[in-house]
Amino acid sequence: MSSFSVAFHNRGDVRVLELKGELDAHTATEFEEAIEMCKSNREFRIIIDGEHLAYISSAGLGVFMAFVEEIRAEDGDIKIAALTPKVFNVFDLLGFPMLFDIVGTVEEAVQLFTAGHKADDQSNH
Amino acid sequence: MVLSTTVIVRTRPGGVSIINRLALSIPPRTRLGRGTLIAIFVSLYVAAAAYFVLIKGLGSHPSPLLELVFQAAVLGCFGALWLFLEDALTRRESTPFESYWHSLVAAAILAALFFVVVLLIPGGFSENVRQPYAISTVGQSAILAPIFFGFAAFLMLRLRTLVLYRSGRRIRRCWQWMLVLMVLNAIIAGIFEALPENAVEIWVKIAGIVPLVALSAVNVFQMSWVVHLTVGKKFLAIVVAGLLMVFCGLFSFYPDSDGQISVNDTFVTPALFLSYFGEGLQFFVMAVGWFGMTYSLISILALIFHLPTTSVYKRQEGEMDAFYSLTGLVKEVFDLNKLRNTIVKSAVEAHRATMAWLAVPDPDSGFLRPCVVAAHNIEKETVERRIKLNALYDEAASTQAYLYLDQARADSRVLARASDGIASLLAVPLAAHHSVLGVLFVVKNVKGAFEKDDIRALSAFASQAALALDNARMFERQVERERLARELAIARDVQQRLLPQRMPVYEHLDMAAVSVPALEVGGDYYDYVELDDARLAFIVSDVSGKGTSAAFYMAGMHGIFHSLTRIAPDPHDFLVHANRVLGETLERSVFISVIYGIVDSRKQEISLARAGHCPAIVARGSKPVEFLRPAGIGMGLDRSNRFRDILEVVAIKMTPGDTIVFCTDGVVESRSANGEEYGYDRLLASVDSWRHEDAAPLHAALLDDLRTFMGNSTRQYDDDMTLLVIKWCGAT
Repeated sequence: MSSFSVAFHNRGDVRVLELKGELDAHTATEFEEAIEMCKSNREFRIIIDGEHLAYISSAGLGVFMAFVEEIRAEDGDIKIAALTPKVFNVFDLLGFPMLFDIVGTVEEAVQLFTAGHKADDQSNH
Repeated sequence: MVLSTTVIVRTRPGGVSIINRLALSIPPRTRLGRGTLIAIFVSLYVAAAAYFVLIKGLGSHPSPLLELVFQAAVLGCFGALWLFLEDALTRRESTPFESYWHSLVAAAILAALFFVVVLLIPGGFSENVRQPYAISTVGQSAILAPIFFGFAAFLMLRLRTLVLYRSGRRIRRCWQWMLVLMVLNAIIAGIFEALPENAVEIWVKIAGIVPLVALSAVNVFQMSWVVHLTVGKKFLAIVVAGLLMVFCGLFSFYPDSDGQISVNDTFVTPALFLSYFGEGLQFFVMAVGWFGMTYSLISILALIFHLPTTSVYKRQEGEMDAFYSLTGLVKEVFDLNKLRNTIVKSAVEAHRATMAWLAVPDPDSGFLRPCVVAAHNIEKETVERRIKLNALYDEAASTQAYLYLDQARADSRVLARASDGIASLLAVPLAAHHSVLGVLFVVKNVKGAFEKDDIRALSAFASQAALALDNARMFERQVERERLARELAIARDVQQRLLPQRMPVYEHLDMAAVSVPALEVGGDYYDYVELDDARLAFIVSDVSGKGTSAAFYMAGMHGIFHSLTRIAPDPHDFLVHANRVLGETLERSVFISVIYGIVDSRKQEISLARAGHCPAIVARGSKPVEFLRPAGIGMGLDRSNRFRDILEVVAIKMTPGDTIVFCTDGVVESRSANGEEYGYDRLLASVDSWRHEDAAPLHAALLDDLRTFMGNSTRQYDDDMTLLVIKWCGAT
């Protein structure tokens, strides 16, 4: 039986979702609910911490696609961090690195957010 | 006796014994035709009567042997008459009352015939000596004998339906042996008549009569038919039984010196004629007469005794009927609405209620609000107006016990007016498997009208009804499940037809492929189109997710492939166009990974592009086996120009023996028994070890290796799985 869980952390004003276990068609709803929750809290800067994500199926990948447009429309983003090589390969085959920021650590992802924020601020001035 | 022999011969060993057959209840399995019986009766009767008239007329004393033959003929003749009547009377079942009524009519006919005979023909018996008064008495006796026997037989066959009414085996035995003993006693009487006076006669007769009396005493108390009659029928039955009793009394009356029936100064008592014709016949007919008289008397007493209990019995019978109708329904009715209507109707009829209705949770309102689904003698809308259904339902359902309002209109939850006829109300929950399926409401127009036993009976009825409802519900669900299974089977067939039915016959190409959905239908797809003599377009694709939604997109992919490949065969053009078309229809969360390519035998080249799909595996010449993974994003992931800009096309020159293997992630993600994934490395190694085989054996070997890895050979694939092998044979 595949098991899956989502843990919530905060890095400043960035929400970190730590995924554990196997994300497939059965567990995708749980991941969906987690992102829905971020949305309803108006937390649009989301980092997916994939260090403990053992497996992801196409249905799991579909969740990223389902939300990313809305979140980007709210000036936020979903950034993906710390994937294991095997899971990264699944993202990579489909061309996700072309569509998402996929970085080695959560720290890097946080930095991308703050840098991006500064860049936005500068462009506003 | 002739007759008996015939039947014995035809009775199989172990079957019903001859005594049982002759004696009555069960007609012989191989019965003699009615015509034959009548013929036997008539011929034996004519012979016996002729002999009788001749002997008596001449006044001579025949030899005992001749007398015995005569008695045997009489026995045979009346035996045939009995079987004829039995056959005629058992053709149709008659009710207990009809049995009595028919017997009385037969008695009246007998009386009429009797008086016609004694009044038209002068005769009778002289006073004191009881000897024939005139020679014509002989004729009278010969005519009356079969008439009396006929009546006796008719009476016994009718009384039989009464005595054996819903009886068990013991009583049937009792009845059969009583008849056997009647016949035996008659034969004994006949034998002794033929013999000279002797001392043992009286003892033999007593020995025969004592058990007959004992059995008769048991049979006359078999009155179970009495309770089923209505009051009116009971009164009528008392009158009819009374008349029959009087008649049987007169009929079996044996004349002594005081009580005499005389016509023109001669005795005309039935017993005298019978006795004159034969002691045996007289005994049988008299015994039947006595039995009929006693049975009628006991019947009258039983009928009178049961008069007051009729209504109670009828009510219980109504309840039983309601039960039976429902148990029948449990088996037969799987129409939920019909069943609900029967439940309320039965509740009203069985309990003489004014009205009843059935409320069940309304699925449309999220299982919270009960609604009336069936009502008898009241409109559903009226119930909702007059009763606070929610409150009553909740109380009965939550306690899972009946709720009795003996003064319904005093309860705040009942808004009925006096004219509505809602005076006492009983709500019984229908519970099956610890869940309440509904609540049955039964109403009477009298306050406090439900007695303890009413409530008990309705509670029992409710549990039966709940079972029936539960069954019907399960049946409906099962039907729905089967319908879905059928639909899915059809979908599977349709989907299989979207896949190629055969491999292309290109002289330079050797191909093998398989696609297996994890569920009934799936999102994997492979196909090819022969563009011209030299070019073959092929595709392998995988819709994200699996099951029905994936299957629809797979069908869409089929359409796009077949139409677009002829217009834009180039891999780059094809995939860019396809991505645009799909972008308009795909859900945001759904994407399709595709490998599309062209095999060109003229150029001896395969060109292909990959949109997010699993890499292909290439084995060329003597080079090591390698992955082929040109850049490309999955279709539906990006709707901008990025898809087009990134998409890369590779072209490979082919030499004979070169092989390309395409798969979907179902192959590499298949797991072994301990959860390990098959993975790209194993697939690569497997291709390497079989790369020199033809396409079909190579394909088979790859699948075989995968199945071996998965362990249990009967296990389904976890995901849709497709595997395509293309081998280049070279120009010939």
